[in-house]
Amino acid sequence: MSVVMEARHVSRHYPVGGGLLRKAGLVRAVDDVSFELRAGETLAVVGESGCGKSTLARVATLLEPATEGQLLIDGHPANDAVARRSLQLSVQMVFQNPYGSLNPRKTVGAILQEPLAINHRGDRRAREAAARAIMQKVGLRPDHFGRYPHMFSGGQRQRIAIARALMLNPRVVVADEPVSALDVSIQAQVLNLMMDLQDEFQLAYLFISHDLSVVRHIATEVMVMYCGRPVEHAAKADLFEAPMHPYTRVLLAATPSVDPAHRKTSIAVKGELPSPLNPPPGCAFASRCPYATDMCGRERPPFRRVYDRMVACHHAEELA
Amino acid sequence: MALLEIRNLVVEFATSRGRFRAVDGVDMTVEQGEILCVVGESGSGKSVSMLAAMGLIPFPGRVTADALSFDGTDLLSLTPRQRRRLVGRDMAMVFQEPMSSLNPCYPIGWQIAEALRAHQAVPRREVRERVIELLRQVGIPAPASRLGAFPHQLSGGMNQRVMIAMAISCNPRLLIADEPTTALDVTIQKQILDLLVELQRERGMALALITHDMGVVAETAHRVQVMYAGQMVEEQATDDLFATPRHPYTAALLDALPERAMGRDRLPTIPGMVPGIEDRPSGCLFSPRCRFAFDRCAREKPRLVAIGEARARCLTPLTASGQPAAPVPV
Repeated sequence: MSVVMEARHVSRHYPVGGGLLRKAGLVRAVDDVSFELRAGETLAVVGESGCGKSTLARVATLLEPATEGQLLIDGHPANDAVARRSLQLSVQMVFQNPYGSLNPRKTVGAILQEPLAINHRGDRRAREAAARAIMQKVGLRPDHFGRYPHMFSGGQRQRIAIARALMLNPRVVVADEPVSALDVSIQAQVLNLMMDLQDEFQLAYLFISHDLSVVRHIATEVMVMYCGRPVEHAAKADLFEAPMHPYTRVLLAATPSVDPAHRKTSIAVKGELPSPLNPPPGCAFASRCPYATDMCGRERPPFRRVYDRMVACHHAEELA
Repeated sequence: MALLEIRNLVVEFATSRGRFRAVDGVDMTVEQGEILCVVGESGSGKSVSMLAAMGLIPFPGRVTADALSFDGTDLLSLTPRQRRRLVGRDMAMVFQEPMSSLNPCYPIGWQIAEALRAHQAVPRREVRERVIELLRQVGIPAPASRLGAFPHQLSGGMNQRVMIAMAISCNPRLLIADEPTTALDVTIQKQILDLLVELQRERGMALALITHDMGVVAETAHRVQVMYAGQMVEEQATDDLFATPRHPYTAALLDALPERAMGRDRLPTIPGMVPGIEDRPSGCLFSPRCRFAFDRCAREKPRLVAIGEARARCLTPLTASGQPAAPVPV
């Protein structure tokens, strides 16, 4: 399968605060992230709030430039603003909250035609035909064409948002928590739709989520992030069956299971995320990690290959 | 006697298109020292029924019930003054969004002390000690130095701990928690759930946990009530509910969970959506989406039927094999 998106040591830093006499701080929202995304596959990025997954989504959709490193779309580097502009068309996004991401003053038809109109694709009749065709693909009825977003339920709105993302025939769809605002029964419908569309159009998904049961269902590969850095990147089955990084284990253990026979009394992790403004010098997870040693507090573990995956932990071999 | 007893609770809101029944004939009992989970999708009436029990339904809403009592006290006939003495002391509530439930203008120590001042004659000197002790109980590190902190200076998880400290400050006998972990990350969610269960066990208080997350139910509840479109459709002990759901809605909801569909490519879904204000079916509210529906379902309103320990609002409750039983007689 062809690689449609490649990130090489991508970082995104933001200067914050600072004033006349105070030095500005630097938040490393995303720090040294690398991955390859192939057509027809799904890379899930998981982590808690503040771990940089949404910033990664903004960089991946070329809404923001990477501070360091390089992002390649279909082999073309997105180095400068001109390159980004032309590559943006092949990366589209589905947002978390379908109540906020659709313009309440536009009809569904207008919302779907807008990407084509902005990019001068086809004439009016062709645009309308394209919009109607995509509506059918995502399971909306033809009579929905002239309706407004408020007339739809959350699940249907997310279908509209997905349809809009597909209007420009993107290679990559970045989905930022696409089902977390939806009820369980609706969530299943939207996940099925996304998988159907992936098969039909050979889409690559960068699927950002905090819900591990959803990720386990839809992902091909999983990257776990903590404090802006990847801590583990592995094929789905490897990660869920034998998590290697202590944080991945904690995350898996904290996710409530729907089997009352398996109530987990075990490792509830203590503490919270460290401040991104002054991250600890060593491993960011060391202060909460049950296996941490002196070295973890001093030296940052490199993100390295261990057996079948990439892990950032000094003790990965012993824990495996 | 049950601690909280609700029989045939109806909550209606006057809208421009007529009355809307948000809660339609809900029965609920919470026993001393148990954890009851009320689970349902958005709009199922789970929060509204608990708000009604607390007397927090604002003006256009109308609450009626055959019985609504807390520890033998009839909540419907209380004067506002009597109600204020009870609510917040013997029955307390934790809300979903800690950031928007706390007052941004006052330090958290002051806000917790407010509950103590309102309900208990604590000497002024001791208030500070009590607040520090409460913060310590809910697991806030260095509690003495946090008294002066404002909500915006704390994380979501810490703020939720403050909310819980406030709720337990007067030793309530019933704690109602409305989606207490929905706004939080999974590792923090785990901490808060563990804290709630631990407090419940230590203090022997009853805990009513409102949630939409079946995982939270499986991890905490002793007993579960499932709500759909304002009605209670099923009630069972937790283990039994996950093993043998009796109502087709519960069964479909469990099937739609990715975790339960392991190894399958596509998830089983529930077609259609929850009926809105205008398209309520006249018979069973779930019948248009139910795969076992037959002609009687569209006409008759099913009653709750008992199957052993379980109760389900269905004409053909499911058997242990997951297939519908013979229809209940007309």
